Amino acid sequence: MNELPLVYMKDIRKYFGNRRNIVTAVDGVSMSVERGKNAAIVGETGSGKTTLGRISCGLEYPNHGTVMLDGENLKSMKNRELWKTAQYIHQDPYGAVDPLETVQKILQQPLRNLLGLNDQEMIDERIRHYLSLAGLDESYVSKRGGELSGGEKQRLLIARAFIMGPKYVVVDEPTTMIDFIHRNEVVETIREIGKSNDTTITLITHDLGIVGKLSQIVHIMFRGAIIESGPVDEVMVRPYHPYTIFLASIKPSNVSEGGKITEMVKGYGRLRQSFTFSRGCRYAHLCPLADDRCRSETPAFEEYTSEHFVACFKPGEFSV
Amino acid sequence: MIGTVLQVEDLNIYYSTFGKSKRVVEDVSFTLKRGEILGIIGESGAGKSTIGKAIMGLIEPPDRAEGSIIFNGKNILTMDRYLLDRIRWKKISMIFQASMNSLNPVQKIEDDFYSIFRDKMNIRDKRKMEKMTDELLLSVSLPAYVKYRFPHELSGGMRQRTVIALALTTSPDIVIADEPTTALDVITEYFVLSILKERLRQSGSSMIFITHDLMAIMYMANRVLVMEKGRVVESGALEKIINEPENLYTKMLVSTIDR
Ligand SMILES: Nc1ncnc2c1ncn2[C@@H]1O[C@H](COP(=O)(O)OP(=O)(O)OP(=O)(O)O)[C@@H](O)[C@H]1O
Ligand SMILES: Nc1ncnc2c1ncn2[C@@H]1O[C@H](COP(=O)(O)OP(=O)(O)OP(=O)(O)O)[C@@H](O)[C@H]1O
Ligand SMILES: [Mg+2]
Ligand SMILES: [Mg+2]
Repeated sequence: MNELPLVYMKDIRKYFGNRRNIVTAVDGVSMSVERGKNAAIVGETGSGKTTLGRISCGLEYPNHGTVMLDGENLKSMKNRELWKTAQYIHQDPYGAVDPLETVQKILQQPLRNLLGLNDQEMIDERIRHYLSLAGLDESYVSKRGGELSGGEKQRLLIARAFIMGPKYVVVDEPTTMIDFIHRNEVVETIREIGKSNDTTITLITHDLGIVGKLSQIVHIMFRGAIIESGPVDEVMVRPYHPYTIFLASIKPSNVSEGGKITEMVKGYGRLRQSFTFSRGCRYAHLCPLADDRCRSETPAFEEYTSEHFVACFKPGEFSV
Repeated sequence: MIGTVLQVEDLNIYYSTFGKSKRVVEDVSFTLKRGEILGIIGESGAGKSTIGKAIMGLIEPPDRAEGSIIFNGKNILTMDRYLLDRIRWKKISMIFQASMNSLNPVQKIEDDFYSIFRDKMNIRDKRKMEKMTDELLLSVSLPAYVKYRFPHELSGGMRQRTVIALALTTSPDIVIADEPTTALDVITEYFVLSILKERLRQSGSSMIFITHDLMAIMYMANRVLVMEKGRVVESGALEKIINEPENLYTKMLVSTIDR
């Protein structure tokens, strides 16, 4: 049983919507997460990261495809079992933290209800421990959710996910409201808790800076598909897909009005809205290198160099 | 005073929890000039959002704000509700840090826009409202069909961009943007920021830009306030803060920039 990866997803498709308009949020993705090898999903807004992450931990069912979690088919898993095995940290801390509930209650409920703990002293000890790991001191226990700042809410959500001792956690943009000094700290904490608890993590983020601090494998998503993936060091150092190359080129040091990157970004943004994908490469209409073949044939997702996969007819050719 | 749109003086803000009052903003003073983008950065819990809320006139008993926030010659902190309602959204708008969660869940996006058109701008022509909505959505890189969606049908970044577009609808004098781009990938973020900047310039509006995102600050801000534990510990022109920071926290923060 342990030969299967912790998370195994095969040919996942997910549609939303009604007859008038159907949205394909995930369009045929296969992805695995190996035990102890943290993954990351990076990509454009609306590209399906959250949907894929939620599917991987059973919060959402795909319309097509198979999901196996810890050797079991998600379809046959009971909710209770599922929540003990996998946790999801919500992208939107304001929507995920009950404003009227105290921090104590928020953390204690799942311990009592799902893990069946009832030794109050043990519960309190555990709550204090995980709060402090997440960087919140004891005084926060009596605060209500609504009284926490954005960054404090994000820390609380981290504590809530890990306090359950799950095998798998999906963290969806966990540090967006935390400053850069503390961001690294928080990410390292997440990694450390993961390591000491044998929890494997999938990080969803658009912050390329933190990917390598937590994850070994990175998947780049674009319009519902994974278009590039591989070891973080590989993909970050030598990206192949023109989208990844463009994404990685945007840094504080080159954001100046009138600069080349700024103009590229403006052009990209203007082009993007006016397009619905039909065939060919899904990046073709935005890609400076696209030719007729790119617009009519779909590039296969293939191993281009060792363990480094990409869906592109011209891998590595683009430069900024 | 010409050229100043907002003057904050000796602002102190107290939150009351279980009858105990705690000061989270201490003696903060600053001015915002016309057309200026003022960045506010600082640690989590430093009081940044609280200042934004105070400028919107949203600190209510038992919480308390002291000092003054002068807009058009009047103190927002002592303004009556009627006047405040006329200023809010029309003259001063805010993109809340909770933007992903702040859209009305039971109505379509178009209704959010239409109620601003009707209530704040007195526009009632359906065609015109539709056209303006499409333009606003397009400006944040969203397709027109988003207006037929409910908030839960949008991704985090799509919701955030919708809220940005809503805050720009009335071309207010001041936009307070509290972490407006946390859910955006850098390409989209940068694009949206460039549009924001352009629109502010066109309408001569000013912005208070609260963020943890140093790229965004470097691209957007003219001047920056750095906050720590409720106080402004450093302020100055963007270049000065980035290149010659004085405060220890600022120094550490600036050292994380990937140059
Ligand atoms: N419940 C839903 N109903 C309808 N459409 C949905 C729903 N959830 C997601 N979608 C759509 O699916 C697509 C992918 O959304 P998803 O939230 O997975 O994107 P994302 O990559 O996480 O984006 P972001 O970075 O902005 O959070 C979007 O077009 C979104 O509008
Ligand atoms: N409604 C409230 N009642 C009581 N305390 C509050 C309330 N809102 C915020 N606080 C506390 O006031 C302090 C300042 O909060 P604020 O939201 O202004 O911080 P911030 O600088 O915006 O932080 P972040 O960057 O994390 O969003 C925090 O310590 C927070 O816990
Ligand atoms: Mg998302
Ligand atoms: Mg805040």
